[in-house]
Amino acid sequence: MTWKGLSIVTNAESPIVVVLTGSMEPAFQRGDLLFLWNRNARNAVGDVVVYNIEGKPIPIVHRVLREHHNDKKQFLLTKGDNNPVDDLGLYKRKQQYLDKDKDIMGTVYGYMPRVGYVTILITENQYFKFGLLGLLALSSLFQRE
Amino acid sequence: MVATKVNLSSTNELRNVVDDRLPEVMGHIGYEQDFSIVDRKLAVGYVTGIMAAAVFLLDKKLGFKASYNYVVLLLALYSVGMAYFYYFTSTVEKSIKYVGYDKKEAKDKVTISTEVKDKYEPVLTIEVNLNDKSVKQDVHFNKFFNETGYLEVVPVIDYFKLQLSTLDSKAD
Repeated sequence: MTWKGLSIVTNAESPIVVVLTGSMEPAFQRGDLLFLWNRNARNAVGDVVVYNIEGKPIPIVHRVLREHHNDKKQFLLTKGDNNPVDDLGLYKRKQQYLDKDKDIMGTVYGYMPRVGYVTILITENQYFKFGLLGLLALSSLFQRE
Repeated sequence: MVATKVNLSSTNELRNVVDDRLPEVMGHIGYEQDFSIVDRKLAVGYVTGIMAAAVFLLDKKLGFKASYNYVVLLLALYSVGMAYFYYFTSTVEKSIKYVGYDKKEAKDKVTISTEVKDKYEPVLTIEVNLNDKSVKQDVHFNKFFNETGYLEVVPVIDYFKLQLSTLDSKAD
């Protein structure tokens, strides 16, 4: 419920995310933990945002390269610092921009280096996952509370 | 109840064993346990647990944006429930480990609180309350436990019998 409380306060579906790729190096490395905030009305060029394309499973962390806005909405174009081209190829077919209100999950406001590597280990390494589960099971057997 | 062997160096374990055996001990003396404190804690626990489950279910079924208002409402109710739980355990329950009523006498109510004040001192602070009169005493654990680490039930029964009869004589 702390997690849910945080997601309501920040208005972000997932207020803390883990960087999975090196596309934002040298700013963020794989395994960095990012803290998001999604109560800002507009993003500026240079902000690092997390967005989720409809129908794609994994959110992406990239930097805002261009923005267009009026008083109702804002369109963004993003690019990974370490990528040679912008993200047009990553968007849905025929999608030319990200909609600030619809696609953006949050803007990065803080980070902790490397801490998120634990979750990468759990999701990508079977032995680590079952080892950890085993340890949990053991500790629950030997502890009273 | 199965006798458990304790690590005699752990005051926490020693206290847990004494707490666990209190209903049995008081049963010997002629008291029946009253579960109203545990029941209230369980009720709050179940309700908040169901609310937490509902939040995650709503999020899964409706998605973040559609479930937002329900989640805010449930979160508010959940915090109220947890605040009550915290209030209840810290001011009402405190260190109460046993509440019981006399099986024969007209509703003699006994409340027993136990506490280890300093975890490096093997001393148990026991407070026995009989119909709103109470005695508080520090008892060394070696009165209740033998060298191998088992609880000796007879001294514990004798101890509480003595406390209760002192309290009873106070009344007259």
